[in-house]
Amino acid sequence: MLDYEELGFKCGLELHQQLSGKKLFCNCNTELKEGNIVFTIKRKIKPVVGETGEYDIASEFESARDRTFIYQGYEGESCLVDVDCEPPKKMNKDALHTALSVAKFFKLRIPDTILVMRKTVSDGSAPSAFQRTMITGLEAKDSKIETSLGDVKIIQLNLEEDACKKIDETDNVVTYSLSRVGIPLLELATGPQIKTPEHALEVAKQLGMIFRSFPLVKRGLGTIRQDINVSIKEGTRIEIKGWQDLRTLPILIENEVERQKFLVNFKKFLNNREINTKPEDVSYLFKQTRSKIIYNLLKENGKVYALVLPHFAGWFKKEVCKGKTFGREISEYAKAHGTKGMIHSDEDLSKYDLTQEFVKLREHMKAGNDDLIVLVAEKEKMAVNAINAVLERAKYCLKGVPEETRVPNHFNATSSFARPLPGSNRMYPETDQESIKVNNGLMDEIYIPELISERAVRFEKQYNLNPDIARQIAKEYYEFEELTKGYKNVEPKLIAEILLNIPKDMKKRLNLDINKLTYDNYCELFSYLNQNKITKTAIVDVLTDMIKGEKINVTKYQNVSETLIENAIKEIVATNKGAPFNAVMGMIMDKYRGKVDGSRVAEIIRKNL
Amino acid sequence: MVKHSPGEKIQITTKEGEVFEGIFIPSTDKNTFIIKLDNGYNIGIDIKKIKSTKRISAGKKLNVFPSLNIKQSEGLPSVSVIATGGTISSRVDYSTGGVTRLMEPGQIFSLAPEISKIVKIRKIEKPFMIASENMDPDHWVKIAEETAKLLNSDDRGVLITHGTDTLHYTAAALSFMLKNLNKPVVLTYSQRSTDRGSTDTALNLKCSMHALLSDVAEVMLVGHAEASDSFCYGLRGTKARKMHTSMRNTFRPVNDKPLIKINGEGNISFISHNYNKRKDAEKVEVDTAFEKKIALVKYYPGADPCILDYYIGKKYRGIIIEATGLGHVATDNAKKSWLPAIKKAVKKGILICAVPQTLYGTLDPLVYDEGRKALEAGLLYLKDILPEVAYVKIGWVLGHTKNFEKAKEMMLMNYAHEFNDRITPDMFLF
Repeated sequence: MLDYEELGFKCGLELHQQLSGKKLFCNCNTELKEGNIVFTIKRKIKPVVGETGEYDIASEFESARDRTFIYQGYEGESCLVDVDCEPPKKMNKDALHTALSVAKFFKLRIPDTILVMRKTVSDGSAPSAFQRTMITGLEAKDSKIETSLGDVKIIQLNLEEDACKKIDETDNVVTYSLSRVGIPLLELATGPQIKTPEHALEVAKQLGMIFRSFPLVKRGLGTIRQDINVSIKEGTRIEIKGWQDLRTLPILIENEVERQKFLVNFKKFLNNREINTKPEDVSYLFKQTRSKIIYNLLKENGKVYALVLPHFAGWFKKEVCKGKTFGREISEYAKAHGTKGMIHSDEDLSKYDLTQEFVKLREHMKAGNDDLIVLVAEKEKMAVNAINAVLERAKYCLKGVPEETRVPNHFNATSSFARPLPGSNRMYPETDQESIKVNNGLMDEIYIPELISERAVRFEKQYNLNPDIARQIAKEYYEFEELTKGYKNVEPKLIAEILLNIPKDMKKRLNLDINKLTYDNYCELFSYLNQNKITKTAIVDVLTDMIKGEKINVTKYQNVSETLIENAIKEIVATNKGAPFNAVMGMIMDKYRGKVDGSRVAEIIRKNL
Repeated sequence: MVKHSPGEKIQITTKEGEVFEGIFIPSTDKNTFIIKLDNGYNIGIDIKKIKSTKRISAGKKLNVFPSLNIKQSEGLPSVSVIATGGTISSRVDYSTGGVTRLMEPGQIFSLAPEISKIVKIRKIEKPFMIASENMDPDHWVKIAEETAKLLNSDDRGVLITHGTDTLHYTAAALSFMLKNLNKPVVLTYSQRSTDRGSTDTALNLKCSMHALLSDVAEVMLVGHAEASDSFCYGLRGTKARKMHTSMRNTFRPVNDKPLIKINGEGNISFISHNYNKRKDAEKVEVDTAFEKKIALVKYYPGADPCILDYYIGKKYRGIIIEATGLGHVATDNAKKSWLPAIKKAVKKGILICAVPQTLYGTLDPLVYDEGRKALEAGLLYLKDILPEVAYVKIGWVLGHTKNFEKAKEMMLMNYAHEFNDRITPDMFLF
């Protein structure tokens, strides 16, 4: 176990939580069903010169990649506003109210006037090339949460538009879905008081629970995403964007710490030794190559560029963190320019049929045994861009950990280079929106809901539920309390049981598609129970019929009178002399399943045996 | 409270002891103090809550309309630009909220750096800087004069940047006012502001520059052909209209097809071959005589013909009526017939013409009785002309003659392809 204090570990989270309802600045729905594609739009994003007369580094980087972005709009889920073909509509009031109530809950300082900003986005994930965002809460004296390892400050709450979801990416074309762009998103940032990766998990869980206590908050996979800021002593602040899997969050952070440690160690190893090599076009050395890929590429006027990295030999084989070699890490900078990757001398070259070529190459480039050779084979422009990116990155190894935005790889909890950290001048006013005065009138409409954790404790006592069930009901079923009030003759415990366990059990035992059950179905069931038209034993049968889409005829499950049951039992006992309890029970239940309460039947049998 | 200037770094202390630091941004609301925090966000603080403010540092001067310092290549063909205002040549000042205007080539290059490899920008004329809704015929005359001056230099063509709202009026005016056009005159625009990476300006400017180097010596409107950043059309100045409030491909050809299709790399394909060819050696003539006592009136159900009496009383000389369908207004079968007012106008020597309010298709007064009656009353039918083009044309025609019959004759002459005698189905909603 690493000593995080010793490492100078600093970590803060940014949680992104989607809200349901309408989009933030238009009337499209936020259901993310992605049905029929109703329009497709192609865009180029141009780097825009900022206020200081310079291009933003991130957008310039993007522009050098010269990518085309395709946006797909879906029925009901995307309109002209999403593709910046129409000015934004008036802001969604429900989303604003939710943001303000979350801000109030965390005791953040709400600005007296909220101003909508445009934040420059250069990776195409916003068709307008900016994301609308606004501060709805700023750090204040008491804006914090208590955790097992001390307080963690809450430093900012923004309300903003979600970005597009990437659907596909080939060479220089990225396809995005427009269903997600514009969905209201709460962005909550913590201070850097997170002390260990496990602590980050605790904080994320607690914040997630709080978020989900607010009615408009979306639930389910992808509705909450974490950005993680991590640094260690001698490392640098790295932003990993869009982590979705809570369980493996600590591993992701550990891996980033390992990566930064590796880079710091490598810097120490290089010890300021210069890297003064240059990429070279070595295509002619490959004319006779046995490597099919390179042979074909050269035939199509591609180029092979080689670069010597002095003293790097052996290092590309090493793991920067669990599951990722340094070679792979560096190849991501080449890939950012559209290449499929790079080949280097720390690899098993026989798999490319390039062993001989590298021997020649080493001789030709006058590379020593300590030196590493990197090769990029692509169309000329792409090859040049990629090999230069590798060189620049390699040079940065002398300085340590480069500042950058990284994207996570969910399959192994590592991250990859995405783009340089954007500069500071990437925010300017959204002139199409009026500012929002946060006055008493507005704040009067803001209320803080009961937290899920508080609700669970209350349910446990008030409805006599066991703690586990109380917690789950509080978390997943807002309707529970309303149902207990609406169907007073049904025990709350039974309502909880029906909502929580019976359908799950039916799925497991009977393999039924319980997703077909609607809220109305449940209400119908509760109303039968409430009016005593059916007994508990009929619940599964009624639900089964509902799933099958059959018309519910309560007489089918109607209670059979006890006299009738008693007579039937007497008859069985008389005709089956000496039959054991279980046999009699079995025969009765076969005949009257769903219409009698098993425990009552058992009592009557015992009386009559 | 201390007075601060925009861009200054300041510190605010509130009565409750909170401290905020940021760049001072002037606010239009006197009760709110706006600062830009270090993270780039602006927030507003209620002035009543502020105890004190102090200056921390001067901060940096913000360059509102950024400029790229690109050395212009002498070997490239030269063009000139007339900047008249509109979204394309203005930027919102982030610190004051005001609007600043395009002034120099470097600013155009900042919108589309590739242009510096296509043309050399010799001159940028700025006769005025206004939103196009604030223009009037005097502005058209001024633009025509400036354009002619530039066309008669060594420039290969002239680009006019313009607000979108009335761009098609200006295009029509130039089509009539520039006689014997020798080189391309291109009008372009920006529907979505240039501060955004998704702006349409870059492609519009690139395609416009390529159009200026083509041999199409016509007044053309160049801009996005599609909602996508795919390519632009060059539309004839008398056959184009703004058809959408906000989409990038707002300008569409009406009763016509585009002249050319251009992409950002400069590939031009011709859709029409009916255009005047470049004659660099010749000189363009400018002919700007214009009658301003003209009106454009829309007929609609229940419309009161007294509107015509108003113009008659004000001694207007020409009126364009946007008529329904094939060219109809209320006749004697209606409660408020327009025929008496039309007859009265004609009697007073006022030129009164009908244009299609459907925009698409051509007028024909002979199909229904109502049309024949209006025709008899003296309404002149202007076939498939666009209402805005007819409005410009009648001003130009009446600027050239006081003779009623001559004016009628001129109104029906096809000076700048404002009439299309062959309309095909593919032109509808092109």
